[in-house]
Amino acid sequence: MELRDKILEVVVEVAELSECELVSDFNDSTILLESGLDSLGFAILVARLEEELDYDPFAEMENAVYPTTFAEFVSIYSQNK
Amino acid sequence: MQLVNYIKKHKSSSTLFSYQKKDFNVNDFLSEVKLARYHFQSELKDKNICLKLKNAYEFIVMITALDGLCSSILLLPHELDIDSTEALSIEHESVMIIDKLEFPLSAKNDETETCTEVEYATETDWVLATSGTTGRPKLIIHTLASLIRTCKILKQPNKNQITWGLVYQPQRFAGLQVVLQSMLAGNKLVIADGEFQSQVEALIYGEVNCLSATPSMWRKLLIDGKIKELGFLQITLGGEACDKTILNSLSKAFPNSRMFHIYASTEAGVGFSVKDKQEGFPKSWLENGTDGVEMKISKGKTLLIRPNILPTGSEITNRLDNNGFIDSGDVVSITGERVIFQGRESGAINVGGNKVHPEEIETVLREFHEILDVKVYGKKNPMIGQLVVADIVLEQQTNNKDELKVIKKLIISRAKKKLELYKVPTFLTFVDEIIINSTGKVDRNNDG
Repeated sequence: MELRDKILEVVVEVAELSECELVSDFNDSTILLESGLDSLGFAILVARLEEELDYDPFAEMENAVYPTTFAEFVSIYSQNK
Repeated sequence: MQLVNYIKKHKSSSTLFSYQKKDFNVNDFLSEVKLARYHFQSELKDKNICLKLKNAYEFIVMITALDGLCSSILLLPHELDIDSTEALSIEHESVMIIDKLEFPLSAKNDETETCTEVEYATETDWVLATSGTTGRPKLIIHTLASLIRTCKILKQPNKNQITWGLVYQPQRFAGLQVVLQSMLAGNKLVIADGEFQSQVEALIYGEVNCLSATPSMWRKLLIDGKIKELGFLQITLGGEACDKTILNSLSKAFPNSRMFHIYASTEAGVGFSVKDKQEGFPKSWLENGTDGVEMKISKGKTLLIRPNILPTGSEITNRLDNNGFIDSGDVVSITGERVIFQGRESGAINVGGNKVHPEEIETVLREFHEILDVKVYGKKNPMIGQLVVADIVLEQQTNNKDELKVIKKLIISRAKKKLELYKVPTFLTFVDEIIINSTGKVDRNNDG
């Protein structure tokens, strides 16, 4: 499975777990803060991805990077593999 | 009165201990105590010494021999690390650490007879170490009198019918209570140490009918199931919060047994016991006290207690407020007519600033019939501090991944109906068993 699709699958799962409703047209250019996930949801998302992918790019970064869109979020995972 | 003098009142032929399938009667025990006293009298009279023996029976012989002889005895669990042992024995000013006995303790008659018995009258301090879950263990100074203050001699027409089991370490407060209670009453004590299965075996072999253990240990014993063949007269729980599930399971398994939930700590001595087989304790005790203990709830919702006899030492005096109350560190809430324990203040998981007590979530999850046992703890998270996660033992274990996925979803969706969202475990790990540590408690500090 493509990394992007894997991440999207986890996003959907986490949204369900944290009772957040994702915006209906969720896509690569969706702004994360407007995606429907709340802070608990993001915390679970990053932890869940670490478990699924075996790495946490945010923990390994020297300078904090804050992705704005879903595409940027995915690229952080693909660049810091 | 010294410990040895309590033992001398018992009939010399009655069995006092059973250890590694061997029985020791009052006469056997007193001979060994006499021999130990004779051996150590010149060296240790009025000195401070530290006992760190692995063999539980030898430990009990030694505390009996040294009470009245030494000025102060420090009791340390044998597995305590070297650094803590050294630091604590220096603080205690011990002149010697006894970690093995260099003479055979089994006395031959002729040897015992040659040693002359000397009367000792020193009032010995009994010094215990806290379990040190929040930092280095600290010394708490008791006396035999403060330790046995609440020992109740069980009223039974024939006291030989009572057999206590010891699953706690005798060097810690809870274990010492069991040892002293049983010795004072002249009951038989089955010392069940070692691995869990050998403990179970010893309890069954010794036909134990009174047992004190933590709720975690009782849960483990019930899951194992072999213990159910024993007819308990007395079940005592302590050391951790006791939820409805464990009380109900024990009542069901042992309907004829009395059940006490002891609220005690190394710091405060025994507080009180709850005997009505219900969770928490009656709210009226906050106004009227119980067993000479006064209680109130602090602003931080922790239980403050004022027992009538407190141990001494700076560790205790520093923790008393102006009215002589000590903060137990246990968070409580009032539900109807009961005061219910929520969990340890220091054990709360911090989810984005919200305090979550793992015990509360465990109680909810244990009510699900798929779940046999559970441990809830915090997992470090860079965005939110910690997340709630759970290790789960399933009633029906399976390795089928699809099946596990369905069970996970089911557990989480049900937990969401009973708990606020931030309290719902975000990760579930299926495990074979929940490990308990040497004090019989669940260790929740494995991650952040």
